[in-house]
Amino acid sequence: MRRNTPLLTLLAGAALGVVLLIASTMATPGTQSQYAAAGTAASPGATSSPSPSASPSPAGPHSPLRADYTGPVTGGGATVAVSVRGGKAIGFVCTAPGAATWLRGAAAAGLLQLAGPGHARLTGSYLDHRATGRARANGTQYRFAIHRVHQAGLHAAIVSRTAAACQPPAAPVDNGGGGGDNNGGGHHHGGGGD
Amino acid sequence: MTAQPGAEAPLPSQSTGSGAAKLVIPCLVGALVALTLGVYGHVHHPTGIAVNLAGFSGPQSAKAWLATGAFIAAIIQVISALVMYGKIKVQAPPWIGSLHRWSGRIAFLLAVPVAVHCLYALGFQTFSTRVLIHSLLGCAFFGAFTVKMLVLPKKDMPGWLLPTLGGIAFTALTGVWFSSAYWFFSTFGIKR
Repeated sequence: MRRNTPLLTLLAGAALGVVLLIASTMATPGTQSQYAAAGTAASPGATSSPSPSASPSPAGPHSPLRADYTGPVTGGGATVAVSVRGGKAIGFVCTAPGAATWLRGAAAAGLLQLAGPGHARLTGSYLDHRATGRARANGTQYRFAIHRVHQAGLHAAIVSRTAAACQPPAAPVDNGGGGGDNNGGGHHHGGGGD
Repeated sequence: MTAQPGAEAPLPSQSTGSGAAKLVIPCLVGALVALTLGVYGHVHHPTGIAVNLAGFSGPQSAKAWLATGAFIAAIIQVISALVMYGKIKVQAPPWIGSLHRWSGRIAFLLAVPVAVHCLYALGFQTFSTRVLIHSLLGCAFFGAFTVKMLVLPKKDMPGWLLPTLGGIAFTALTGVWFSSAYWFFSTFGIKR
């Protein structure tokens, strides 16, 4: 070949990738400060760090970058919880106190995908105030529509898989800032389980 | 490979040896590409979001559609290759080579933004078999594609080499698409 067009194709793709990577970095609000702040008391009212005005915002309803959700499954019989930190999510399905199926997975732009032992699965979507979807644990299918909570220690309890996590949920808090018992006291164990 | 004026074509053993040597660098580069993507995906903290594309119901569906576009372009590439190599018995039109090259470029360039978003927002994940396969094959696809692009301009390669490399890249992309876009559409529905 006179001109090495395959190499041009490769380089064009690589250049495109780099440009998109840079644009993504600019579009991510306060990533550095988020991970620096992990482990210290996160501001209870913030759904996500304020985004620079120049960055493109995700289409559709807003999904937070750090959020915890918990509540009963539709129809009762189990409790579900999901904790989102950036692109990672952890959670559980509890059928009885102390009988938890632990899940871990990914959360991206409003969609949840978690998995756990014994073909446990959780898929759904998460928004500013609630998360909905389906879960399967121990062969049983559940649907859930749970509220976002500001519950101190929930994330840490899921990370360390303590039985304390598998409790009836605290009273749901609709909007940030008015959180009942956890104002400023939330010691979030950042970083997510791995 | 010494070339004396007027000499016959090199003996098969010689051309095989030098041909294989020509493959080392492309394979190393391809492996490096695959490895770099995997390491980045693992080390980088997935953010959950990345730059978005308007017109879709969300970034995940945008990726699923782009990936499906890439997959369709790759299928066109395979079919055009089969025609070019005479495996499909039709009269090969003169534009078949262009179709093959352009469908390949489109597949690759559609795959790049999907991969960037995936690596940046989600990272190299292992929480289920599906995502593990996706993560591995995703890296492998770009490595295999790199090797193919670097080998293409080389002369004196055995005739089976390009189809094999193309087949590997296509197989990897098929696995990537099934473990992601197909899963997405079957789990969340075929939506915009």
